[in-house]
Amino acid sequence: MIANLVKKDFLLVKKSIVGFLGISILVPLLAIILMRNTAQIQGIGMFIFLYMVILMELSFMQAVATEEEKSQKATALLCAAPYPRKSYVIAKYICYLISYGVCVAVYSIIAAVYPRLDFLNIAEALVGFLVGTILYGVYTPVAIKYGITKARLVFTAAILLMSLGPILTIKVFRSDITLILSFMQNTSGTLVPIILGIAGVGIFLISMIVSIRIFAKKEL
Amino acid sequence: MNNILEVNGLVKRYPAFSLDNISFSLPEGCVTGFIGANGAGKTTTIRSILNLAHKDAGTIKIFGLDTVKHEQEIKDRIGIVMDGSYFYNELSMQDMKSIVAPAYSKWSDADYRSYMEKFELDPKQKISTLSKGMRMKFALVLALSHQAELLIMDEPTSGLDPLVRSQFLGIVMDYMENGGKGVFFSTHITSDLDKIADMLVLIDGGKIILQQSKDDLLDTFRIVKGNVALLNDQNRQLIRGLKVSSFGFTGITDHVAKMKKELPDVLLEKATIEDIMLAYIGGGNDDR
Repeated sequence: MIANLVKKDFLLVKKSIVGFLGISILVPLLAIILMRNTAQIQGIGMFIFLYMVILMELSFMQAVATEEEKSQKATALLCAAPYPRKSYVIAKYICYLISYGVCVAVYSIIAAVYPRLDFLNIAEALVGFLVGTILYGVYTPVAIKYGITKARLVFTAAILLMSLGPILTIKVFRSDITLILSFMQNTSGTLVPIILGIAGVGIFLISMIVSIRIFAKKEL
Repeated sequence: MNNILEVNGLVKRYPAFSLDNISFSLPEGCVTGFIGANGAGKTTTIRSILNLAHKDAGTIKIFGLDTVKHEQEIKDRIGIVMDGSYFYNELSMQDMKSIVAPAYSKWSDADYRSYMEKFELDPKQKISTLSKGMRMKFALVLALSHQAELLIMDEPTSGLDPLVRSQFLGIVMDYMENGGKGVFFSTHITSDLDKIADMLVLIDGGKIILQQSKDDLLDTFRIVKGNVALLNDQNRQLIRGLKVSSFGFTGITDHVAKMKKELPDVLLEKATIEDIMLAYIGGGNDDR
């Protein structure tokens, strides 16, 4: 049953799916083009990936939410069918995981084609997951409870942050890169991914449970 | 006769409107018309029955099962027809069906295709391009393609032209003839009910005003017309929706025998469902 609701979200934005893929490809390509004459491209894969995840997630969920807002009563029809309300919410979080997976795949393909771009290690991939999950984990319950107009504030804040651009973002975080990298290098190879993984999964589950509870009480 | 739907003491409060402890039931094998003016509480009642709105008090049973405890099981056995805006407009009918159909354990693609052909609907057509009548037909296709035992419809004929309305009502009658256990059908177009309803439930201001079989109701009520001079304080109590003008008075009564005895000179005529509904919800008697 949940698979059909996942399919529903993708059907709603099927015209934009090429655009989402374009965004996820464009981000690393842009970084490669802008930084082709510097050595910085190595070691910033995580930030490029982070940027991809955030843009992809926000674009996708915003597009789905906009389509659902246009046909608000359709959600009521689905909940009048034998779909449990929680399936409707769980499907949204599965869509998030799918789009995250797409980002990992796209990044990996580009890294394979362009050797100067490092492949992601597990910790870097999980940093992307953690940050993406925090944003999605806040946006989704807000969107379910208050509608997308208010949730758009979350979206706008994230876009503003991202509008600084990947290079500027790296410059802002440059001092921290050394710290982060040394922490990752000095800490046991498995500890960092475990911490990031637990944090990411924990936030993901908490957000999903909160969203399920909000949606269970929502008047449709 | 078993009740297929039972609503007991349903309370649903909103800041500006409430369903006030409403109770009614649908006998099996009947088409039940749920009538009332716009804003009377019909849609809120249906949304409460479907758990789309959460009731503040009361119990609702369908097929003898509590709608909260057995929500999915019940919904699997009922067909829903809301107004045509309950679809994703940007999807085709085929896409919409691919989302809705897997939710039902008894979904029949053969039935679906058969109804789509019967109603001359192209599955690839985008929902936003459908007329109101086509949307309602598509809603009915989805409701009828999973062997629903009960159809719950909220204002399905509102905004339809007379031809499509007539086709729609024909389909509902076919559904009952082909083994449907019941239809619960909200409307403010009472002429639809003249054709297909067996039972009537009248709601006004969030309260159930009456529940009766259509034939009994039509037998019970008469339009009464006469000279104003015949009216007195006592016989005024027998007349609902009393309108007084310089030409005489008109109203409706369910005390036909008493009326004949007390006012033998008045004219008594058969009432329609609309006359009866208006007499109940049209406000108190007036002496203009």
